Amino acid sequence: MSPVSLYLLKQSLGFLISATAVAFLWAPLLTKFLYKYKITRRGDYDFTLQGEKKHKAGTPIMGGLLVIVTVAVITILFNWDRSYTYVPIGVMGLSALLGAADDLLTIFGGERRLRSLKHRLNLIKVHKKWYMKFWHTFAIPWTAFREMVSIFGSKQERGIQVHEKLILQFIAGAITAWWVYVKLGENWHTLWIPFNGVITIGWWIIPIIIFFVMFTANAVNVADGLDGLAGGCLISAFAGLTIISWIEGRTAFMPLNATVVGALIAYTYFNIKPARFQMGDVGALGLGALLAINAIALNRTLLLLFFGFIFYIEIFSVIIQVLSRHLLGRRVFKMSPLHHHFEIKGWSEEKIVTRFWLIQAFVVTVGIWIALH
Amino acid sequence: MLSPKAQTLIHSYLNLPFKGLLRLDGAAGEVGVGVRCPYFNNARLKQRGQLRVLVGKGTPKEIAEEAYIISVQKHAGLFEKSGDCCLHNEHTGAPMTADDLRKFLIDNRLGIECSGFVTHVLRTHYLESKKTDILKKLFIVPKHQIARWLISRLRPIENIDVKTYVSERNTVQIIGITVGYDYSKVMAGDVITMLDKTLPFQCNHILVVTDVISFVIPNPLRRGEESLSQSPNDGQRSLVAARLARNDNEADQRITIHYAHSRAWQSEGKYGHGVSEGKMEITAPGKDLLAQTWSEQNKTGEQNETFTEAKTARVIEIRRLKV
Repeated sequence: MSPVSLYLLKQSLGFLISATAVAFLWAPLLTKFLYKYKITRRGDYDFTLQGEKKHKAGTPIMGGLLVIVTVAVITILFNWDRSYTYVPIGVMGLSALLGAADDLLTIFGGERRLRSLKHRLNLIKVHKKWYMKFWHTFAIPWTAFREMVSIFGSKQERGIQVHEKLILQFIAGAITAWWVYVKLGENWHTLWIPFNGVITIGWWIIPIIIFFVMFTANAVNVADGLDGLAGGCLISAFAGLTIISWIEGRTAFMPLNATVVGALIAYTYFNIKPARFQMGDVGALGLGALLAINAIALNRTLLLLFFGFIFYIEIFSVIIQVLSRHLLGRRVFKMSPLHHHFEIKGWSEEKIVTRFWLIQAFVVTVGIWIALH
Repeated sequence: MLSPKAQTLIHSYLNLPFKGLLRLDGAAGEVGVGVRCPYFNNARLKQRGQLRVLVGKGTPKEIAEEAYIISVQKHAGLFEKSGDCCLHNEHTGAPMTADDLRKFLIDNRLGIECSGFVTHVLRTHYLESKKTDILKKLFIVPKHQIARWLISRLRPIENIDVKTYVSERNTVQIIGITVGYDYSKVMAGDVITMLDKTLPFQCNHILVVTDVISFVIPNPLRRGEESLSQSPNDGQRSLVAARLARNDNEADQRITIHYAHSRAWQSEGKYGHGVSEGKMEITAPGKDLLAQTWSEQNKTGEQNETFTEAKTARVIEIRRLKV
């Protein structure tokens, strides 16, 4: 092992340990804060809080702040690099902000009654004032977009709607794409293909990056449905990225990924059943975006298929269920995302989470093995 | 008779496959004892793009599974984590019975409508007896209506209604004004269709013929009639002679058509409706369907609402699939 690699390893392990220690230290403060301001799950609008999950009502959400804030603070203080870490941290922050707004509006916001497309078309017909007619006509594409994407989301009466999230996530993805395409240089205009080296794809990398940032953020969010599930799987994913960045000798990314792993260890410690707090959209969207960006920044975009395996399986189960429901009128899974399917089948929460952790760890190992070829 | 699998399917609709359900007397019963599938028609709710089980077109298994999922979602506490029915309601502690489950199904709009029931039964019957999938054979909408045609191919059962079975492209008339009333032609797997009911809030209806029993009156009965012909009473003797003089086939053959359907009788209220079996005794051969004796749930004549509904239909006939 070269001295540089050894130094990088020691430095990253130091970041990991520091992040874990810092997160453990302020976790009680966060818990107290969340309880004090009643940022907790409520049973009156959350149907998943039934039966054996009744005890989860009243559990604080936005526990993902533990990871987001720890990672952001440590990176800004000790690993700030204008070339490499500021955009990942910035996009993570932006996505986390979006998630935080959703979490808070879901708890404290009122019900939102949005006009359907049919309603808006009727309003155009009946309104007497020309400017109102103009306004409703102008708003038709937006309403149509909302109705189109709403089929993929549960009927949400509170918080930020799916279509609004998608727009904001698109912006986060576009920022990442700009950074990769313009700032990181021509080495990143390529796509790494397993067992086949890299191929130059030029500006096509932009939509690919936007897609992976949006898709991964939402996938992590979807998988965050059981105590410890998302946290444990993210540990494997970021640990895999840490190893890859060590192999590649990325001096900025290895400490960053190690910091995330450290903070996630503390988070998962408190998040395993019965959870002291839950990740919430603030953590899921933020860490999902960061996972995608870090893999893209290492020029190993397709490794995400392995490193985000459980998250993608979860989100694909939702897509398959929605398509099957609307096209064929039948369920493929008893419930989606996939972890709910197994719950309905009678698996215990612990069983599902542990098995998913193991599968994720195995697939990440496979990903690392492939990356070495 | 219908094929064994089709009969099992009807049995499943009459006893939905809920695991671990208790019988009314509290003893553990066989699977799903007594939960008769309710009637549900989507015509008023008009849910679109929905699961077929939620629009009255599900199979017994789908209905039972959906009940479990809805119970989980709505905290109803009717099932255990294993999927078995609870011995006691999780919330109220009251013993669970088949009636509780039926009420739950109806309150949550789970059930089957007439054409959905008939389609599932006939599909099973033809798959087993003729190795033919009727969903691929039935004409639902013409191909030039591309979108509707595509939807009907993707979701055939949801798009099949009574009119599909009345279409000359799909079925032929067996009993009706055009071909006459020879009830000996009726077979299991035929359908009884009621079109254009005249009363408000009544829609077209369809029943599936499950069995046709045809038998000849036993000889002793006939011998008894012959002995009466020797009676000293002139009036009685001439009456019996006239009966004996009738065509033997017409006089001796008795046909009973057994049917099954999903229906909602007004007299049964909110929680009484569902899949049901009945029979039609051919007491007036050569005459139309309304001249026969319909009985269901031990009710005949005007008390049998299937019969009274049939009377309100402009067209009532028995048809057979062209498969």
